[in-house]
Amino acid sequence: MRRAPAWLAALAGQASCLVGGAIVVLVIGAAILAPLIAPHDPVAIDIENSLLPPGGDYLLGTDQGGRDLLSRIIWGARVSLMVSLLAVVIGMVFGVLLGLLAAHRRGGWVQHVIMRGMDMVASIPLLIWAIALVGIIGVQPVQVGPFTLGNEHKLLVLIGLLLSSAFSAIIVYAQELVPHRAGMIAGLFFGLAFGVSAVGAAGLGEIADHTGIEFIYKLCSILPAIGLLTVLLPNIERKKA
Amino acid sequence: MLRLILDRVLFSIVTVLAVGLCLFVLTRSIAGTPARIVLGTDATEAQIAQFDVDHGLDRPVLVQYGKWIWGIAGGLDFGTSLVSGRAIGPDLRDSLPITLELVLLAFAFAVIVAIPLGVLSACYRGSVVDHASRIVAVLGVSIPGFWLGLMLIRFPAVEFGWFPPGGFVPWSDGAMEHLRSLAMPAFALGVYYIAILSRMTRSGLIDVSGLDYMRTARAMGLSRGRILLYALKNALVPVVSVGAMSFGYMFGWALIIEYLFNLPGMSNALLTAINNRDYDTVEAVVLIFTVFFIVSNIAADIINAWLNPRLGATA
Repeated sequence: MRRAPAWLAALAGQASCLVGGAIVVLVIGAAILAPLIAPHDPVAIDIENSLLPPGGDYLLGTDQGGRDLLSRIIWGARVSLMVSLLAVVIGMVFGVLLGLLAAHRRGGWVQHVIMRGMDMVASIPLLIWAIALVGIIGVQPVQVGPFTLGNEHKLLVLIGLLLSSAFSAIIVYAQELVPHRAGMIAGLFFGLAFGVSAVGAAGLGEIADHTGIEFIYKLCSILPAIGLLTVLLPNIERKKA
Repeated sequence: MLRLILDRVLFSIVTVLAVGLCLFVLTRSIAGTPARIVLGTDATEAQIAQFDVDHGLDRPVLVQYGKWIWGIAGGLDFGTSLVSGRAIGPDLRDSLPITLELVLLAFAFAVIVAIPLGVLSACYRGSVVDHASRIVAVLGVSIPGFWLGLMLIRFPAVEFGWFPPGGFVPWSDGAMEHLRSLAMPAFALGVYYIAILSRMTRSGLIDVSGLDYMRTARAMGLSRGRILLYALKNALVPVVSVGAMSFGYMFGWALIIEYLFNLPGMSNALLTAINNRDYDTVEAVVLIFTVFFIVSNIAADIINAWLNPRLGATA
C-alpha cells in the first residue's frame, strides 16, 4: 500500500483541519442520506404544530407552516450543494477553456479580447445582478431549447457564467508563473473551489431553511459564489502585482 | 501614473456601457412588453402598439439604450418609470444616501478595526493577540451577516434595548439617534470584512518583513515605526485591492441588511420595483451599483499605483 502524501499527513495532524473536514463530511453525508435520516417530511405542512421551539419530536423546532426545521435543513443541503457544485463546474469549464486559449495565444489579440472580456464579467456585482435577474426572469421554469430550466438551474447557470472570469484569470496567471503546469493548477483550483463552495453551501442551506423567508432563501443560494470569489481573487491580484 | 488612470477610466467606461447594454437587452427581451404590464391583459393590440409608439419602445433596442444612457450621462436623468409614471431619479435620490451611508460606515468600521488588528497580529505573531484575531477572523468569515443581524435584533435590541431593533432615524432628528439606528446594521455588514482584511494585512506584512529591504532597514537602525511604515506600503497592496472589491460587494450585502433592519434604502427601492415589475427602476438600481463597484476597483488600482509606483509603471 502506498503511503499518504506528506501534505495530506501534515493536514491530518492539524486540529482545525480535522474539525473542518468533519463538518464537510457531515454536511455532504447529510445531503446524500437525506431520505434516510430526515425525521419528517420537509414540505409537510402541519399548522397545529407551527413555530414550535426546539426539542421533543422536532429537534430544531418548526417554522410558520409547522414544517420540521431539521428535516428542511437536511434536504436543503442537497439543493445548496448541487447548485454550488454545478455552478463551479460550469464556471470552470468555460473559464478554464477560455483561460487556456488566452494563455496559449499569449501576447496576441486573442488574449487581449478574452482577458478584457473577462475583466468586464468580473466587474459585475454578482449579488445585485442575481437579485435583479431572478426578479426579472421570475421563479417559473424557463424553456431554453429542449431543456426546461428550473429555479436552481437558472441560478447555477448564472453563477457559473459569472464565475468563469475568475477561473480564466487564474489559468492565465498560472501560465505566466509556472509555464508548463497550467493544467495541474487548473485541477488544484477546481479542488479548492469545490471545497470552499461545499462549506459555504452547507451554511447557506441551514440559514435559508431557518429563516423560512422565501426571499432570503433566494439570496442565500447565491452566497457560495461570493465566498468563492473573495477567496480566489486576492491571489490573482497579488500575482498581477 | 496619468496613463494608468486614463487607461483604467476609459476601460471602465467601456465596461459600464457594455455591461449596461447586457442588462438592458436582457431586461427588454425577457420581461415581455411593458405595455402589457401597464395596460393589463385586456388591452387590444392597437392600444399596445400606440403605447409602444408613445414611449419609443418601437424603436431599435440600441437606439433606446443610447437614449437611456445619454440621459443618465447628461444629467442623471434615469427616465420615467412606465409602471408608476414617476421619474426614477428623484425616487432614488432619497434612498441612495441611506445605502451609501450604511456601506461607508460599515467599511470605515471594518478598515479601522481590521488594519490595526492585522498589524498587531503580524508584529506579535503567535501571541495572544494573534490567536484572538484569528478567532475573530474565523468567526467573522463563517457567521453570515443576516444571521448576525437577526441575533443583534434579538438580543442587544429587543432583550436589552441598547439599540432600536430596526427602522431609520434621519439626521434631522438628532445625530446620536441617527447613528444609533445605523450602528447595528453597519456592524452586521462590516464584521465579515474585518475578518478578511485583517488576515490579509497580517499575511501581507509577514510576507514583506522577510524581504531584503526590510533587513536593510533594520540593519540601518531605523526606528520601529518607520520600518513598519515602509513595510505597510508594500504589504497593503493586496489589502487595498481586496478592500476596494469588498466595498463593491458590500452594496450587495447591504441590500440584505437593509431588508433585515427595515431601512428605507436602495433595497427597498429594488424590491418594490421587482414586485411591481417596474423594470426601468430595476435597471437604474443595478446600473448604479455596477458603477459603484467599478469605481471602487479603479480607486484600488490608483491607490496601489500611488503606494507602489512600480505597479503604475508596468500597467
